Amino acid sequence: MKFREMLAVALEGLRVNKLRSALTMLGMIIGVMFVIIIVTMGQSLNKQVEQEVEGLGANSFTLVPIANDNGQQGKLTLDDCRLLESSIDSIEFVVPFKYLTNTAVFETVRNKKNNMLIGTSPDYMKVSGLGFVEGRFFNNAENQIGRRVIVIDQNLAEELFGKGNTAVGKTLRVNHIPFQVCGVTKPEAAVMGMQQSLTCIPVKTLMGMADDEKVQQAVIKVKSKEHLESATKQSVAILELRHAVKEGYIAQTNEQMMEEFSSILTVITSVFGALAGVALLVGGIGIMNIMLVSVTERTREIGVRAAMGARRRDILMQFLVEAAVISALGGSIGMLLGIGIGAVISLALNMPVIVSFGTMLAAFAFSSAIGIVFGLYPANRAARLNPIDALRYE
Amino acid sequence: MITIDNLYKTYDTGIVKVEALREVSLTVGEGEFIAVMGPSGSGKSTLMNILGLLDRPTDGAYLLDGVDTRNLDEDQLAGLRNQKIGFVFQNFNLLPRLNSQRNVELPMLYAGVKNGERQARALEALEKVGLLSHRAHLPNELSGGQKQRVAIARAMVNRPSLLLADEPTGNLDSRSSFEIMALFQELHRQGSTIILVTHEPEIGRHAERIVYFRDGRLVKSENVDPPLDARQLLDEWLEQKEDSNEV
Ligand SMILES: Nc1ncnc2c1ncn2[C@@H]1O[C@H](COP(=O)(O)OP(=O)(O)O)[C@@H](O)[C@H]1O
Ligand SMILES: [Mg+2]
Repeated sequence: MKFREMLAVALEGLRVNKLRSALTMLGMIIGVMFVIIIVTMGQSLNKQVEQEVEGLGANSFTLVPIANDNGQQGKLTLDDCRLLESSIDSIEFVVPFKYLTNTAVFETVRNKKNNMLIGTSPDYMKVSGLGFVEGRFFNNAENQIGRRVIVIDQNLAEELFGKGNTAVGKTLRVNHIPFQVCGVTKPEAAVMGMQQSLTCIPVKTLMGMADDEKVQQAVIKVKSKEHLESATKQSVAILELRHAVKEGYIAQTNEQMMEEFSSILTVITSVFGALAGVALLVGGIGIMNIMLVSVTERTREIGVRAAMGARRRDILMQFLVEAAVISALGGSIGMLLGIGIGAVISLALNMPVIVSFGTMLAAFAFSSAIGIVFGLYPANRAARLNPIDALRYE
Repeated sequence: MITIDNLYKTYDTGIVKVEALREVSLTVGEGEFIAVMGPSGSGKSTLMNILGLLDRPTDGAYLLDGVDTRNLDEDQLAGLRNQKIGFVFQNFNLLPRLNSQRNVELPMLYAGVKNGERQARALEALEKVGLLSHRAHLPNELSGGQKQRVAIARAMVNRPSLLLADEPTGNLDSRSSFEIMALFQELHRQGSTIILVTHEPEIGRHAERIVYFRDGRLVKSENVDPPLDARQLLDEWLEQKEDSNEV
């Protein structure tokens, strides 16, 4: 029998028992849906971080002080940043980042919000690609004298000053200290699902509000790609000498950071994907269960087909194709649902929407394979029936 | 065309052994119409299942068109069932979810007949049994007699050399029974070899020869001369009915 005819016979079998076919599919639909959601969310997150890291600019690396194996802490201060900038020729500029340990309280007469607060320098603009809704970033003069000016994003501006109102020039309080808004940026996508707004003040100003002089990290821009490696090594060497600490810093280029993040994300996605895969397994067992019922129920049909000249492999294929069609159909529906739900979640979290053809193809192939694997046992049982016993079956 | 020699079939149920057929030898020539009669449990169905290659004898030889069926594997048996044998069952055995046409197409499906030809031949076969108008009906939308006619169309559609019918009129009223027998006689006139099991003497007398079974043995074989003509009986029967209706 030709495949097309086998498919027709299988479809006929499914059409006749629509409700049962649909219920059998449900397991596959849910399983594939979860796998697809998890995979697309993983891809979306990856893409998001990629964009963000790229936002830090090409030809740059990030320097973070850490504690070494002996418990000695690497240090980074504003002076260090200035020193690196002036002593290493290939370095164009150093952008410091200082955070408060806790979130800060942002307050206007209208509203009150908790949000993280970043102290940095105007050079941040050169590596970030931030877009402005109104106003501007603070300038060097404001940074050097430590003025109380602040750049907030549109989301926070709307919460604090109301939708459609200008924020620039207005005053808000950060931990009770009044700041003047000098710019409102377009909202950045949320980082790792943290619904936080980007808020920047001059790093000098933040020093005055903090208990220490620590700078948590620095993004260092070099003049060209060839200088990346040497500048990284020199920077670390200078700082280690200056603070008398060995291995107290990690310096990574954006690519390295991205790779590291990707590999972590791959592990996480695989773990969750495997968990969702268990749902698929359950779906497969459901198919096997229903196919076994179906074979028993249709024993007489199998006998009739055998009497009409169906060979064992014809019977086998009939049930196998039926199982594969159920699971492939269920898989396809689950895939579409998964893509749709994944897209909705991505949009809600302000993350890039990803529809991967490869994932779709894999989901389809995998769900068909599940149908075949779990359909094999029932189909084989059908095929092994003795024609005369099958015909006599009541 | 059929030679069985010293055939035995023993069912071993674990508790008892039932000798359903013993020492059965029979030759059926090309184009013969044979009725198999005997009391219930005498082995008639067992014989039919073996002749239909649905079951294997415990001992003895069965040659179909000169081919020794003992040495054939499952697939070869399926091929022979498909090409050489048409089955008609007492309980029709139509697939309940397929309409008449699709049921008739079934044997051609396994013969690899292409879609277009398959449909054409199925419709042709339905026309021969007078049910072209019922081609889209599901089995449960047909009367018993109509179901059996669809089953006959299905049995004949691959042009088999041997038609096996096990109590085909067992579930039918007299009128439908005559119609079915008329069809068999027509097929016989056109050259089909037919073996028909029945326990009704009147049905049996439509064949050219009757073989009698008792306790698994073939005990008697007699020629019917001349066989009853089902078409004629049907017409007479219908006339009678009309008369009685008029009264
Ligand atoms: N599958 C089977 N297992 C055990 N005994 C069987 C089986 N099929 C038939 N028999 C026995 O074989 C004998 C012949 O049965 P069967 O050929 O069906 O008779 P008939 O068709 O003449 O009524 C009976 O005694 C019946 O009980
Ligand atoms: Mg019987």
